[in-house]
Amino acid sequence: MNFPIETESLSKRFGRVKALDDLSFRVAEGGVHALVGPNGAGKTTLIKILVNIFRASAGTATVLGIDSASISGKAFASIGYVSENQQLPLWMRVGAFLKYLRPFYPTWDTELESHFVRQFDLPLDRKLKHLSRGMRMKAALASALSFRPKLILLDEPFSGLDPVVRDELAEALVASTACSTTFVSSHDLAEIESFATHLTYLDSGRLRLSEDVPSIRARFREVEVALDSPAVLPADLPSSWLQVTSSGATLQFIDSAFEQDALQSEILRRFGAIQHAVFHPMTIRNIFLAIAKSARKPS
Amino acid sequence: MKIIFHIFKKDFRRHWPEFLVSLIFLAIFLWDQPRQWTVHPPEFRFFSSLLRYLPHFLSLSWAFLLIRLVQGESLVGDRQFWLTRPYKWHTLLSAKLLAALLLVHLPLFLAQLLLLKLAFYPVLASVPGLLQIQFMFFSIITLGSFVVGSITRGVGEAALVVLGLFLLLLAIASLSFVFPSLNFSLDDFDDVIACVAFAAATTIVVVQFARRRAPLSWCILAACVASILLLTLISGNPSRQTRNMPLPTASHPLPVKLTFDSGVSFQHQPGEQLDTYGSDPALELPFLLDGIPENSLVQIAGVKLDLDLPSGDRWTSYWHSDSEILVPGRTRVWPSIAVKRAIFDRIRNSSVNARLSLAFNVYRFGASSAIFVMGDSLRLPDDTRCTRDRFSSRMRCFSALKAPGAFVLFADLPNANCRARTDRDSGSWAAAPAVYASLSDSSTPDFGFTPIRETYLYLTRKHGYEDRAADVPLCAGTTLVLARTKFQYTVRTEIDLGNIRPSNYVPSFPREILPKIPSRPSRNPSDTLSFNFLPPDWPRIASKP
Repeated sequence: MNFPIETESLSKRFGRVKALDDLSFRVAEGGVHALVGPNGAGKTTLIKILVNIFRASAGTATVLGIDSASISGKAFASIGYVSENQQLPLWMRVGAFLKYLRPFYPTWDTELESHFVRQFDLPLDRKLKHLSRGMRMKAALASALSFRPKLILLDEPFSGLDPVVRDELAEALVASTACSTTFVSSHDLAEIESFATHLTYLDSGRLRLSEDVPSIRARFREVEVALDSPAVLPADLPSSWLQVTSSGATLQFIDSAFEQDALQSEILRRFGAIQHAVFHPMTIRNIFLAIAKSARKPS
Repeated sequence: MKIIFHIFKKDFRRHWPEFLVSLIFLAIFLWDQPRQWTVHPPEFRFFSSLLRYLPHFLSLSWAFLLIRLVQGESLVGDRQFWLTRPYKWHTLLSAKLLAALLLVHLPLFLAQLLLLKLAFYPVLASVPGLLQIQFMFFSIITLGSFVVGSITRGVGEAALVVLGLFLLLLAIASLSFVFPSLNFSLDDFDDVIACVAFAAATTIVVVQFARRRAPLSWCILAACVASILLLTLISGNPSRQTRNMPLPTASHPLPVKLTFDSGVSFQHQPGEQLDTYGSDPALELPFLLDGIPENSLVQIAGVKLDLDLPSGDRWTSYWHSDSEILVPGRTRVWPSIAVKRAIFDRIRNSSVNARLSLAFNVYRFGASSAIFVMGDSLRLPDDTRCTRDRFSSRMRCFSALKAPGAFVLFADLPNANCRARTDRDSGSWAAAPAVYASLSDSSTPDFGFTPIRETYLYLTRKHGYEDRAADVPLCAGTTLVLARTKFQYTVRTEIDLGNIRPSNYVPSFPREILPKIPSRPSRNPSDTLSFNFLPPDWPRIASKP
């Protein structure tokens, strides 16, 4: 299996601040890989290392088989990169911008370009500086997708966009996954939850999780148990139980390695007879909230 | 190559207004230059005053265009869209250089060709020289602008960097206030400093385009400025300066015999203010002069005065540049040197022991010829054409690419048919002829936007005690003797002046020297050919008219 993105013990320091700490993960080919985490988690730093804008302090990152520190010139003909705060040539008209970029890419598909122009309703004769933020992002995305890149790297592309524009961009991204791998960062899970196939969670520069979405959904449950007698929480609870609380004979926690029979046996063994147990499936957003909270306040 | 032109086309679409502004300035320059050759614009007219600053406006417009071109794909920052596009750094750099070539260098080159044509100078033969000027222009304006553009994000930042660099260079140039020895430059480090600056600028541009390492580039820039500072300080090292001006030897003898004339001094009235134009009074020390070889010309290159103060301390002026020309026939010379006001006030009426050091550049006369002032014009070597300046007694001379090579002009002027102004006491003219010397002999063209060099030609003759010089008229029909000069060697000497009273050597106002100069017998010119008054064999004229 090919891995368009691979990192090994990747670290980045800005003076005394450690932006990335010993990051090792791989992104498999195809699909939409979401890189999520709170503001300041290191998402932008990671993506900028991947496109050789920043240099890693330690460790390595490989993009499309090339050491990210060597990525330049020709290598970008296979990488589509769009960032929330990217400085576009605002003096250019949209049409001139797309036309200007065409000769740089041997694989530029003018039909696909026209398709995006139509899909995003891009005004070709308007200057980029006269476009709204959403329209500018659409123009940037059209310019980054029209050459059918093997890897699409998007840094907070939906930030500050209205839901309609967000859906249009997401639709374009999903459509392009047939021939590309998309790696998209966001601090807001709700923006990408609906179409991400894989999630990587960063917090304070550290990797907390990197997994397929179905697998994550299957393994996390919000558990609510009614016991026969009041629960006393022991010190040695399983590490997979997050945010464990008890109130009288009611025990609540989040299980991050859910398997119903094994969990019921474990509860029985620790707390005695169970009157009633409910296992609620969780939204991705709630799962990440739980992970974030447990990372900050270990239960 | 296709991508280079593609980026260039984009840059042209983006920066055509800046290009247009520079073209307008260049067009005005082109219109103004031939006008300048024939008309001397009156100073009081506002437009004419503005035109004097045209080369500055032109430089600024080109620098602005070049900086904006480089900043079009900013090399500082991490948010520019082009950073993650398939640009190759050498392609981008080539595109920017192509833009500089087509939008700045080519128009200037064509303008220079046109100016040469308008001035009736050979165009094709001047192309190699023009290319040398273009290289100098590239090294100074283009490379400088590329450096500034590649380490800054916007025009504001670039303006600050330019201002900062300007202030730094100004500070280096002002170091002579702290280190007086820097006033005397031997120019032998100029080439090294130019090479250091060129290498640093090239490195910064390549580093920025290839790696975008702004902190590293700033370090290189700082190192370059530090190196220039260091080289400037080394060049002004007094012992190094003295080493480079050796004492006389058998092969390089002292070209003149100098005797301090202690019997001559300035006469001051009681309570008279000393004639000092600056804050530091300048001492003018009278010397008798003898023995200048007939085939030589001597330039006083440097002067240094050392004083033993009554307090026991020593004071030195350090070496200062001079440019006094000594030709055969001169009998006196008055080397001038400023003494710090605080020192002078302490010793003005005291007797102090003084030593004067003088450095000489010795030149030998080469081939000589006679040239005529034809009406209001004159022809000098290297196709240099001179016409009379409407507003002075001088000649304005024009030459292609560089000023005419090293030569000296002599004439026994003024005479009965070519008189000096009536307020001049013609009876006190010195015996040595009137002279004009151009001793620079550079093989490379002079840097400038116009390929037509303008110099003023005027002959001066010493009068009085040979302590003053005055321009002499260049009348139609006058014959001048032109001799080529060739630099031979530099030599220095130190003369013990004994005990002197400094105030005796500060000029009085009105200028009065004691004893009064003995009147010379008046001369009665035999004809209008002034060179006839020169000794017939000096300097030897190749072909008499």
